[in-house]
Amino acid sequence: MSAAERIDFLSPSVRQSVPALIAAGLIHRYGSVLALNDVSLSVDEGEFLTILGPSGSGKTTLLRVIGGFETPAQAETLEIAGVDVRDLPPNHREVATVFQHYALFPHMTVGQNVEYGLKVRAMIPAGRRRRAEEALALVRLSDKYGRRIDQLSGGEKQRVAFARALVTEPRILLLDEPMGALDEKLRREMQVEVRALQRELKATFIQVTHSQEEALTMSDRVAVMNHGRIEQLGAPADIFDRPATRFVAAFMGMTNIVDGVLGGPDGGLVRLGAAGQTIHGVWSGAGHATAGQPAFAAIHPHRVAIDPPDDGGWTRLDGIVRAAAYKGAYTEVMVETAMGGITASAAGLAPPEGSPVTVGWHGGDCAVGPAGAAA
Amino acid sequence: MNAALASARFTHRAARREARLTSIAVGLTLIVGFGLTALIYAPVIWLGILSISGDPLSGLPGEFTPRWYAGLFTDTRWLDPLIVSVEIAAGVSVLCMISATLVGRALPRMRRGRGVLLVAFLLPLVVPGIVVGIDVFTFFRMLFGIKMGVWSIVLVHYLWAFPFALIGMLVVSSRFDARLLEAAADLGASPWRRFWDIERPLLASGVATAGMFGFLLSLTELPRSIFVAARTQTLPLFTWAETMSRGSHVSLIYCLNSLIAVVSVALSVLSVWLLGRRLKS
Repeated sequence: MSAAERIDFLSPSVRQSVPALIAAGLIHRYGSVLALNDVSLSVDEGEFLTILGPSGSGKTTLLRVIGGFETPAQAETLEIAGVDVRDLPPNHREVATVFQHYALFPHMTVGQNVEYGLKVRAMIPAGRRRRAEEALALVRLSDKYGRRIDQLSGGEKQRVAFARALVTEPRILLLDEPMGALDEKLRREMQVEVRALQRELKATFIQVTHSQEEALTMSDRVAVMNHGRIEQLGAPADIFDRPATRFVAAFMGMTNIVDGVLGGPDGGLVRLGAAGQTIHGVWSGAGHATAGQPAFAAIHPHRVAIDPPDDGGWTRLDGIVRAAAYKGAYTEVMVETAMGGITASAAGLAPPEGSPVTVGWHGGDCAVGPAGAAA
Repeated sequence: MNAALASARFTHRAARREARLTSIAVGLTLIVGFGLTALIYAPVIWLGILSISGDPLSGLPGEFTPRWYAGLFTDTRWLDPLIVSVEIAAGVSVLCMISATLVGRALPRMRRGRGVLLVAFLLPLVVPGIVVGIDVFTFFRMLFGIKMGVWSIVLVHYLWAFPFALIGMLVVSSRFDARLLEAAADLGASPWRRFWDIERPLLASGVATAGMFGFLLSLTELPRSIFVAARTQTLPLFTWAETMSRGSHVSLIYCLNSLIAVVSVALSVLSVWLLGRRLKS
């Protein structure tokens, strides 16, 4: 019997073409702060979506609105599996949450925690027990059924939280910074494990995190939030390499951002004039590129080459090495150029400080987008 | 070189002085702490010793005898006041449990006005008992014509015990993690089930403590009762009257009070232990 068969109760019983979540026109305020500024989002069944953003960006508020813990000031549409949930409290919504601090019931055993969602649905004890044990097996905690919560490690608590949420067969599993309380090593392991679990169950997961790495490694799609808005929504590779806004570029670790004025197209790429030079890049903005509009160009440090090849596809800049910082796997080299400081990740030995050097990048690695949108 | 030596000597002297000060502070703390403990408990123990002495009224122990305790069985006039007192205490206890639970749950969740309300609820702690007794007597009797008796005693005892019960409840409820209720709601629990499955068991020790405060404080309350008791006789009123009368049965009072002290201490220890156990987990 395969694992997928054994846990069949956990997968959505009916495959529908209806999206797991449709949200449109969500507006929410805390006092004068606009926590959600006209947010719209649609999530397909079986999709793993991550809402990524810094603290205060509204990502947790969005998750709480979906879960029903927060009633938005305005909502044009809020449907979970085709059901309008705008007037439904959390206990009548077919979602379950893995909370950041797990919120396990301290006076119940592991088994009682996992069974709680079934108990309130008035399932008979024998059935409850069987399903709780299956769910615990799924998160590899079969031998912990009778344990007290305070006897568990942080990683085990997190697994119990997953089992407790999954056992109720939610249409959407909401994950609120689920890795937040784990140490680095465990976090890496759990990222892989949670993603595998989601694929196995073909369940819909919506995760909130401030970790770029978590968003990129776990998700089918990533929604980057800032100031209560979704700035960009797309596949991890799009978000990482083709940021649509200056904020997304910076949040994705593109430390090299140059402001300039957009020139014309140039064989699939666009030209950007900055500091008297021309940069080639790929237009990543949401709208159309118009020559003459202010724009930014952004490039990841690891895509910046030292002594780049001298051909047309490459933007080349002469500069002087200002500083070098050893980072283990690579060395971060700060080069002062006519366009300001450019950071490059050098795999080998870094050139000495003060030495002249040429840095550059391939036009296809450089993202160009409209300036100002939400800088 | 000399300057360096002098500076080092100065530093060492300062260190010794500080060490001396610290030990003086520790010593003082110990003396005051133990002194206070003795001040509180010595009379109770003395009372217990006198209750098994031949002539307690002399104030000196000696000629140990169980006869006063035996006397409790022959002269049973204390039994009716005890029953009245226990009934009143039970009523106060229930009132305290219910109201402390309601208020104690609500206060930590309030966003505004929490501090003001807390002070308002706890203020009766510092109002002299006699004032409360007179107030209730005049206010309720004169204004509303309520008869003085068991229910007026319950009322003043409740007013007296509620702040203590509330504190006992708040010790537990202010540490209650409201996110657990969100988790329960998320799993499908209705408001009632959230209360019954999550809050009730986690706040149980606070409820028990509130109840015990209500019971004990009512059982031994005197100054407020004096004004509102009318002809109802509680145990403290009985022992007080007996003590004042200097009659032949005074000796029994020693036994009775010793027993009450033992029961009170046992209940208090139990409730403190219950609270401590909940706080640890």
